[in-house]
Amino acid sequence: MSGKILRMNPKDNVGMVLQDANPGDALTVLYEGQPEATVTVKDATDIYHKVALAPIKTDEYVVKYGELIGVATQDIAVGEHVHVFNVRSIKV
Amino acid sequence: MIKVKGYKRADGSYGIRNKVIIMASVGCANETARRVAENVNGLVFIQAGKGCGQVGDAVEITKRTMTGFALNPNVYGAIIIGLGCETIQPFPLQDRIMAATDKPVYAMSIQEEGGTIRTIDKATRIARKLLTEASKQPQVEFDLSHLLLATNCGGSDATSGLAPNPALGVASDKLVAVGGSVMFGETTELIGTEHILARRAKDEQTKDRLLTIIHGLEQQFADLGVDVRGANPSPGNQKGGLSTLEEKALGGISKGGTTPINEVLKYGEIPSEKGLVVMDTPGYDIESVTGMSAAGAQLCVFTTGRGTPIGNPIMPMLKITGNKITYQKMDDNIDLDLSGIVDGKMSIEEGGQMIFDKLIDICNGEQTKAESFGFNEVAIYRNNEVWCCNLD
Repeated sequence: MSGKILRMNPKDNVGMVLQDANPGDALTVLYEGQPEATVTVKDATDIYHKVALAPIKTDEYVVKYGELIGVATQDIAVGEHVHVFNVRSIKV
Repeated sequence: MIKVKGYKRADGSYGIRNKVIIMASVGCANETARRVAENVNGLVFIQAGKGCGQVGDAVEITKRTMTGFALNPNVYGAIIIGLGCETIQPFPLQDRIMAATDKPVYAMSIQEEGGTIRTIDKATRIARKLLTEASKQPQVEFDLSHLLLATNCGGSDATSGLAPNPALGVASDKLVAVGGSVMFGETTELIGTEHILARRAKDEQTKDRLLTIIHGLEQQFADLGVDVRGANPSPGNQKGGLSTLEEKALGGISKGGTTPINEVLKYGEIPSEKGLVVMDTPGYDIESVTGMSAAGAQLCVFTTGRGTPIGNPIMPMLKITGNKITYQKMDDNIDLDLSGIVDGKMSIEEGGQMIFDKLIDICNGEQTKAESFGFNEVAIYRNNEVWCCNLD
């Protein structure tokens, strides 16, 4: 299935899927309305949830809106669902 | 230089509306003041939410906010109706307002006038005179550097941090770039972003004040046994895709744009700095927006996911959403549909330009949907509530 991922800021290493996505879906990454890459989704991902746009290693920051929104608790590959099971709040 | 049309005040400020308001200084005067407003076309009634039994900081917060209503550049003149025995008396309030402005301000008390009918008679005559005077005031051109834009969000959902808030951030940056001012608040929503906001504060004092309001609120929650960080993001937020408190809060603060934070204000306080400012306001939308209207904001952009009908007696409120279904269901309440951003059909920059263009139209007189209903919700935030004992 085709579909879209929204990148909010050039610094972001995650983007939001704009429709429910399934493993193997090749989605177009949009920034400022323009397509800039294709990412293959690895997990079933609900609409508005995040997938990695770049590899994120354990303890590296997850970046959205160009700001730090959390820390990876495990290595995350491109296309993987990024959520509470692999990212935690920076303040503990 | 973009110019808009408005009304010049003696203090050098400019309003985009020319309102005459009638404020009750106590709940006991509400119905009498409301009858006056029903008599006079265009007179705006502002109800009082409290009366006696106000103590501590709550008294000053209420006085400051009511003073701010009258001082707002959108207001031509004001009438205060009191009862006569309340905590916030109409005549000292009139004195306080008149010490800060040359606008016409009248006050009376129902006990002194001799009941409702005499009060209505006197206030109706004054209101008609003020509205006639106001209608004669010509509009003049002014540039956007005189504008203070209030921003607020309410009824948020997963689309809020995706489309309307970041797009409003673009519009906020545009307004600050031409010398105007933008205000955001909702301190409850700032918890978790203090490390980011602190970095954006223009100086150490501003940073300290930011941290004071955020940590102070968090401490008050803790004293009540509420763990704000543990409760956020809520299960519903998580289902919507929000993973951390920072992510949730960032979606909210994105509406203020990216410029430095120049001042941190008390609730209802008038800014002394230009550019982006933060006001310490509560999470209840109407209280938050009311505080901003008292600070002199001439208009407000309100972002919503689920939709809301509210308006404000002092300033037009532009409602925007990124949720297509909400817009379709509530298009008599919501002004702008930014769901194109969510669909990937519109960029955030384009959405921001759309908001900015609409703001210009509203300044030039275009009615918002809340204005067309004549919705004037008002609620003044108060702390120090007493006599609410738990008998269980």
